[in-house]
Amino acid sequence: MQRASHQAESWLKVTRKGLYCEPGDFYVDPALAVDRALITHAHGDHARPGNKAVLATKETLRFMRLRYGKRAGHHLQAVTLGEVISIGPVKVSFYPAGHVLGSCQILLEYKGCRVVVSGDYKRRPDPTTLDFEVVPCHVFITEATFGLPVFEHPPVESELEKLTHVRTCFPERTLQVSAYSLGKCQRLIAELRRAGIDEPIYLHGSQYHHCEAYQELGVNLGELRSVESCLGETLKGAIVFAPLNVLFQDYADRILDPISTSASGWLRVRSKSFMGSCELPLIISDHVDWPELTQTIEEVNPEEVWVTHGSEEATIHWCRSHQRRAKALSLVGRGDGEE
Amino acid sequence: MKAFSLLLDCLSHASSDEAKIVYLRKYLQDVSASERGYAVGIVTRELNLPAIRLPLLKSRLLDRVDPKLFELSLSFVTDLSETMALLWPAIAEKPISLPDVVTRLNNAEKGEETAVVEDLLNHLPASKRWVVLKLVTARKKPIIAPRLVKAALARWAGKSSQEVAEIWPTLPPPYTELFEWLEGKGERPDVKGRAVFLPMQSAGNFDQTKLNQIKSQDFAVARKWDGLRVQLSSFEQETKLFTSEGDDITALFPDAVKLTTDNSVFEGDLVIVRDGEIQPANELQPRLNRKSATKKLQESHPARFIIDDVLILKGQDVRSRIYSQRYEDLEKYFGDQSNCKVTKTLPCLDEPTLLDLRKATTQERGVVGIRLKRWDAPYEEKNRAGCWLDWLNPPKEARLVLLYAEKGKGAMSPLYSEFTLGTLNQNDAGETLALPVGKSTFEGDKEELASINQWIENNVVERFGPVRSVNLGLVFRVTFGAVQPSARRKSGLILTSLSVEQVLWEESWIEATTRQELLGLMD
Ligand SMILES: [Zn+2]
Repeated sequence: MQRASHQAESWLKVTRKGLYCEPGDFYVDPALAVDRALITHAHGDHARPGNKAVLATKETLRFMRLRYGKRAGHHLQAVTLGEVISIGPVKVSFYPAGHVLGSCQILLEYKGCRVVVSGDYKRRPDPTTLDFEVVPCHVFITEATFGLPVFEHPPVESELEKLTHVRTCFPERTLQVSAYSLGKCQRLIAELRRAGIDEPIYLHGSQYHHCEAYQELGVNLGELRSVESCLGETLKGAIVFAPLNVLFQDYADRILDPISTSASGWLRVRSKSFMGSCELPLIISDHVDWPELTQTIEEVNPEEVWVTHGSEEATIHWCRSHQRRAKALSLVGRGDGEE
Repeated sequence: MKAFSLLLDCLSHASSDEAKIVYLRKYLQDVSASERGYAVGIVTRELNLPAIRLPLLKSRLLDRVDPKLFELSLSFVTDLSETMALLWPAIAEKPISLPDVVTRLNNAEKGEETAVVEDLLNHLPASKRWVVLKLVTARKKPIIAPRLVKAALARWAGKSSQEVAEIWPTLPPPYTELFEWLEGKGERPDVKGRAVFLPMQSAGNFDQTKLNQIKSQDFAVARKWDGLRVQLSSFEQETKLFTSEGDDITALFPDAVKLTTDNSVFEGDLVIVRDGEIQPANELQPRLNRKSATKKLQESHPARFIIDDVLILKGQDVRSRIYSQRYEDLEKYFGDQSNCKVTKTLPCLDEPTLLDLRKATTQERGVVGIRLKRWDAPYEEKNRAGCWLDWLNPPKEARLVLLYAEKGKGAMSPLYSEFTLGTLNQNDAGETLALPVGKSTFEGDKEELASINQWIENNVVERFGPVRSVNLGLVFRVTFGAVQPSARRKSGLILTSLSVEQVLWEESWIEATTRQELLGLMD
């Protein structure tokens, strides 16, 4: 008998615009604007502006509207988790991926074959999003951002101890945190709150708006202030967030001798942790590390693994040496950043 | 060991010397007395620990991890010991203290060291595995400069760092007596008969615009040698040689400390002398990079100590005597002792000729300018109102192309930062080649260095041990002291006091300075 996964290649294809489901005539996380898009989560390398019809969770749609305004899509349809929607002969349903608020894996079912497009995901508990759910399938499409055995994210608690230690050493200096506006920023704030840090946290505009959206969607992040709106205040000893691409020069006269901080899974490797010349590197990520990646593949137990962005080579090697079928899927438009 | 691994982590990312002092001070405050001494011995690299062979340990690791995954990991991480620390499969974590680690390593029987390290790795998380591997593959360079360690100790204990610096060299790790004194539990360690290090006076820069305000008769004028400023401290029990930061380099230069002195402290320049000629300062590097001086190295790079000052003479502190008196003391004391030489002061001249004198020294090999010392000034740690002035020959500039890159020497430096640079030359066939003319350590900002490293990783041509040869492509703007002939180099030239000023990302390598142009810069 033929493997169910074998026929998946005939209806699910990598095209110039992204991953295309032929019988349903839709794309998942397309890199260019298309007529019908299913979106796993709102990060810029997965959710693009300009699509005609968009199917995603209400949280993802909320963030897309925040980012793109009217360009978020002509027709936005919100799905609830687990709800099965038919698009032509294809059945689609969404399950939590644990990556950022609203992030999902998308299950596609066609002619008895189940394919899970997992998008970005993680397995660590995260106070700002639902836990990843194992969805049985024939083909599991996985990211491999940290697909090398050197990547093992330490417990968040030990990273926060490091942060507390550095702040104790320099109580006067401002902790200046670089983080993506969506996801990483709120996760870090939530982890700081969990560690008992309840002082007001200062945010750059775009992060402030994303946090407001989080709070409206029911995620409590404590007292937040927009840096722009409290110009008179001293930031001595405070925690200030800004997105990666925003230079802190704007606040240079208010932040003297800051402790530059960033959080990423890449920082696990020392030679890479010098790249951004940051003083407090925190090894915290919203992607699975190597043990979680391999554990997830075992738990999902698919007939075949398709590996997208990251270190495909090591992941595929691991699969094959564990008697699993695997292949690389080169999708366009995925950077090697950590969104 | 948790606090120590956190300390190393913080130190390696610290943004300033002050931050390093703060971290170390906090550490001293937080940990137990039994840990402090070892930790300080490790960060200064004064504590002796057995060295192990990484390849042996690597083969033990490969018994336990997939070789292909190991290779892929290594090519990503690039540093072998870090890759091993990250990949080593821990069996069960156990609390192991720093003194435990040190004792177990030092008590290991000969040949058993690798097994002891393996056992430690089996029971530690990755960050601590990295620390253990750093301990046993340690290189000479301190993790943090001894000057900062002394400052942190002094601040922690509320003592003067001068006092700490004086006692420091007389005690070996784990510095039990020093810590007892610092904590107020013991007497100040007795330094009688031991080689002390005294804080050294430094020179300011001569301001050429004030040339006509200077009375040259007020100054002793001497050649400024292209060497390393050192202090020789010789007492009944021992003789030691220190750098200006107080690093003990006695073991590296036995040929320079041979001289017989009694209860005295001298100061001067350490230089390499070959065929009667003083060599550029970078010839000292091969000797500074070792743990000890081999006979071969002493023959190929013979070191000499050129003395120009005295702080203690036959047990008497002469620092309050003025320089004309101290200089007289020196000449009287040394006469014609072998192995060392008192620097000759140059004839007293009128102001305009001071300039000629400085210029004349550019012709001399191993000289980087002139040093002026006020005849009537006592020896003082603080260089009050320009009593000592260095008038260096102005640096020359060139654009050189990167040929080889090597990772930094410090344990904390996983980046390529030592660069061999070349000049362009046409061979007989009319092809343009690049020939090495010197080596320099990059001291610019970390971000720039990271970009350079990215470039190097994309342009590696060949590997020779730790050295990478790269494609011709990256051009640096450099400054240097002088162009000197060097028979040992294919280019026939060497640039002294070479220092990288800037990366010229836009510049094509074909526009780099040619050998012919460098010859023109020779004095
Ligand atoms: Zn993402």
